[in-house]
Amino acid sequence: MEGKIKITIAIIISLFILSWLVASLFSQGDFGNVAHIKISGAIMSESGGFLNSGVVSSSDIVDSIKKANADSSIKAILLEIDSPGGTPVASAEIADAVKNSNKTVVAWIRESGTSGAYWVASSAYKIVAHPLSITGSIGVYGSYLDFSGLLGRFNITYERMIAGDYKDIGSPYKPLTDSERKSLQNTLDLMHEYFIQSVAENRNMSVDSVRKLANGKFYLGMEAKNLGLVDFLGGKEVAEEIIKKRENLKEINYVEYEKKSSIFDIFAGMMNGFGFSFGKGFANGIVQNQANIKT
Amino acid sequence: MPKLILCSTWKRLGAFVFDLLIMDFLLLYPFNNIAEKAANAINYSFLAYQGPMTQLIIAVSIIGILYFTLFEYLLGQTVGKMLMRIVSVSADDRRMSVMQAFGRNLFLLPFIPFVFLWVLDPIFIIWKRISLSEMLTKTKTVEVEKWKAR
Repeated sequence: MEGKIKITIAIIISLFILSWLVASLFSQGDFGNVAHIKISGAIMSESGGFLNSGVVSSSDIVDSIKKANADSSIKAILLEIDSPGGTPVASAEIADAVKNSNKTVVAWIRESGTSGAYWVASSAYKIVAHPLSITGSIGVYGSYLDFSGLLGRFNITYERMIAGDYKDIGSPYKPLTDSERKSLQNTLDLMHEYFIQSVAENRNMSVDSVRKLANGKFYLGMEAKNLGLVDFLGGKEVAEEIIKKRENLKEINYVEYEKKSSIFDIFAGMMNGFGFSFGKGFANGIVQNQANIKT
Repeated sequence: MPKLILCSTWKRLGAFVFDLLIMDFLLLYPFNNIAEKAANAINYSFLAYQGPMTQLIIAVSIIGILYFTLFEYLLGQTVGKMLMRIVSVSADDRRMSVMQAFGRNLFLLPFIPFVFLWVLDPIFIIWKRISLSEMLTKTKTVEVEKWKAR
């Protein structure tokens, strides 16, 4: 019995050492030199599950950027952007991760890279956009529907019970007061200014010149190039040329960085998706206390 | 001399699961990061391994084959089989040779024709309580109590 235990331990230790040696040989192998990270869909803090396919999570993108940063065989990151923007915090989180990356990050705007997505792109080393892509749209909105008139027609009244004058600001069941409107507008202006300052800093442009362009208008890629909002017109090939030149690479082999869904994620997502849709419909009919602010 | 009794399918399955756990958590632990990188490489697809992924899969398979072959040749049992109290022997009830031990574990290679054994071995085990790999290598897996009594 003792001999058996000794042999067992000897085999396991020998094989572990062999595994470790083989693994260290592989770690020097070439698994790709450029990380390919896709930002496709509305940028939110969390993706909200498997069924929420039109949403990209800033947490996932930041994780991917961190993984690429930690990988010495990765020389650059190609950020493929096809997004209308998203929430200010989620967009800023990705923009910060791009800015603080120790790799060369090139943003490639395909169909659209507007608002928060442009914020992300602006923090990259260079921006490549298709001449017909849509970009810019530097602005913030927080619009919502006011149902108070409709409720009034059905003789339904909103019983306002609050502690704190602004607690139900943005409630769709009552019109905004002047002071509430002023407060919300002030918040949006602050966000807008922060957005402008960030883009100006990222793009090495003066704050005034960015402010002139930051009226919420979107620009075609070719217009954006003339305005200094993008660096190059073109597609993936142009982005690849920039990376090759900057990193002295002869060839680009991509490594896909994306969150892989396990079977549990898929089931959880399906449950979340069902719960989300059910809850959304239910909750929308009862209460919506906060203005929905997006960049 | 007591006759050797072929082990039950459940004991085999239990032993195999234990062995996979040992391999996954212990022996293949150094491959964790590399496997993730290789899986992220864009030129990988499930049915057409290319580039470093092929080499990685071959390396991992060989370590798996070594684990099963060494244990079965030297002790007649892997760690999983020890826990489930079953033992692999030659068809003539003797200790198996190193070639028999090697041959019966070739099913671990994820390439044609070995992948066919992933389907055929379980069918044979359920049907005849002996796998096709065992039939081809003239080996079998039996209850440990009867083996000891001999």
